[in-house]
Amino acid sequence: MEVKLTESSRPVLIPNEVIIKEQSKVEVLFEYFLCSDSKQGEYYCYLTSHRLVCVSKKNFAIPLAYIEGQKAAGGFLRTHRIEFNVRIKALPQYLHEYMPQALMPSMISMKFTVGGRDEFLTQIDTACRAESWNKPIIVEQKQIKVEGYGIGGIKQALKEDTHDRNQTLSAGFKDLKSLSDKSRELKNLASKLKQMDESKDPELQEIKATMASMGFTSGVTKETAGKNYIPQLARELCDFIKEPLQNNGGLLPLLDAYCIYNRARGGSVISPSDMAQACELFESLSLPIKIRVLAGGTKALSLGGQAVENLTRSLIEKIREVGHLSSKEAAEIFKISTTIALECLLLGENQGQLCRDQGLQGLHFYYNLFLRN
Amino acid sequence: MKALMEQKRMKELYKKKGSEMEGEFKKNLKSQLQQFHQSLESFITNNRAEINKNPNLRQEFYDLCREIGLDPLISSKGACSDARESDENTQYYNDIAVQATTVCLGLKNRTGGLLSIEDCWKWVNKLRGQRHSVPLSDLYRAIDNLKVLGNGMTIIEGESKMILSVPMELNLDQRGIIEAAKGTGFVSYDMFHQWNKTRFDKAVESLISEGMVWVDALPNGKIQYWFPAQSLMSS
Repeated sequence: MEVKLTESSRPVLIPNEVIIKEQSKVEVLFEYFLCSDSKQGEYYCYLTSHRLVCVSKKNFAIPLAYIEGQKAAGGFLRTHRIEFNVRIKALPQYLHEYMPQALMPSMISMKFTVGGRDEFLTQIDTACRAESWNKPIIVEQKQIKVEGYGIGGIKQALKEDTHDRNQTLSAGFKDLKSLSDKSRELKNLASKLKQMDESKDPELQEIKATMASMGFTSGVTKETAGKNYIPQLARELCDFIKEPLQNNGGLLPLLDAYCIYNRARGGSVISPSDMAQACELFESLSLPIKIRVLAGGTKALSLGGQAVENLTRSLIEKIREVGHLSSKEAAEIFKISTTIALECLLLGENQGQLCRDQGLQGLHFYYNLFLRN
Repeated sequence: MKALMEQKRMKELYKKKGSEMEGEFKKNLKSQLQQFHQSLESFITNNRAEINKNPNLRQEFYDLCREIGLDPLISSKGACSDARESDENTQYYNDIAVQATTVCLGLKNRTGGLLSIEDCWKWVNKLRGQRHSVPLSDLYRAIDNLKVLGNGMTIIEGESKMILSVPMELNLDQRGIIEAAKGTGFVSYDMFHQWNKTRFDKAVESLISEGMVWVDALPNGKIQYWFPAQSLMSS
């Protein structure tokens, strides 16, 4: 079955799908009914809440719903393996788009050449039992019902509403499991209650806006990826940061990226040094994002190799059009950070295309008219 | 006439009752909001490792925090001594580092990238809430850890330490001016009578053009130069 991958070769997730475990160097063997076995080669495997995704030159995915009778095999003097049967079943309607019908082998054997089998098997068991794919995506919201008439009726309705919320609160926060079960109700409640939070602190609001502006990523952790943690982190960071990068003219100071990425990860924060190590790997993994040291010594992430040059070229175009620009103005026009804007302007100056005018209004750049001749 | 009076009285009564009910309803909501905050907070302090381990739960839980505006990064320092770096401590300093970057990034438009370390500290603690506030020395250490990401955030040494989150070198004169603004939040030329006017102007102008200083021309002809970074908290 075909799998959609991101640009950095991690699987594109289905709504509500999360990655549970990753394992490198797994040899996969397909057995078809009444046919000889076929070796599929070595894969990087992702176990998600919905699928088993195997990535190599050729990729495939198997819905967990199809997996039956998974068991450990191999052992003493033999490589550890997991074997399971595959039986095609009807999937919920919304999954058809993501998991089209395909020819499946009747049995699959996974050879764990570098260990990790037992944990992988436990996680498969848990995920198969959880049946996350059967959880509906949309849950209806409860409406306030007004029963009875007049003030008494409204009062009763408000009272019931308050009571309902108290129920949700106390039931939802009983333990981790109930939190997980009631999460959708709690979320609805949270969005309602939030409207009451009228803190009048504009600065704090701005800070919090930075905190909340980004959505969630799957969040590679040392637990899920093990030894592959840093390379996988590099891949995920790459996939995630692409959009913020595009919104910032193709360049983002590394520190800003650190903040945004970690905020998107929720509470499983990565350390600055993990981030630095992951960025070092961009090139060797041939990922589309590069790390650049700018003239001022600041490190920044850039989209492709030419981001700075391209941006500089468009800045120079703009300056020819409007006469002159400061880094602040340029930042506003191109929706980039002032740090980056200044870098590009300085680059333009170094190329001899721009010249500066320093005054009380700040540092402004003009087109170098001598170039015309 | 009497009927009219009666109608008016009734109307007022309804209005009073209405606002009474609304008030009570709002009070209920507010206390529930607080309860929500507290429950989330105690959950994350007690079960963060557990939550992070389970990807499904993780997504749901942090969505909740985001929805209600709670900063989930409120781990506390381990009892372990500094020599042996425990996981707990790593997480603690990482949390503060992310919070510090959040503060600097969030306030960049206001401050021009220059923020006194005390202000940054106050905002970080505001994000964390009173029960999880951190000492200043830990903020220093967290910012120090960020050095591996390039010099995006530098601490300017001096009597009052400032965090510079835009790349720029400050000279001695500029630092002198920033330090003089400590406490009052502004400087004027009177405070620098031992400098000649050109020297003062040059230093101030460079700060103005970086957006770190705002100019306030008073009616009596005097000019005050205000630092939004210094006066944010004192106001």
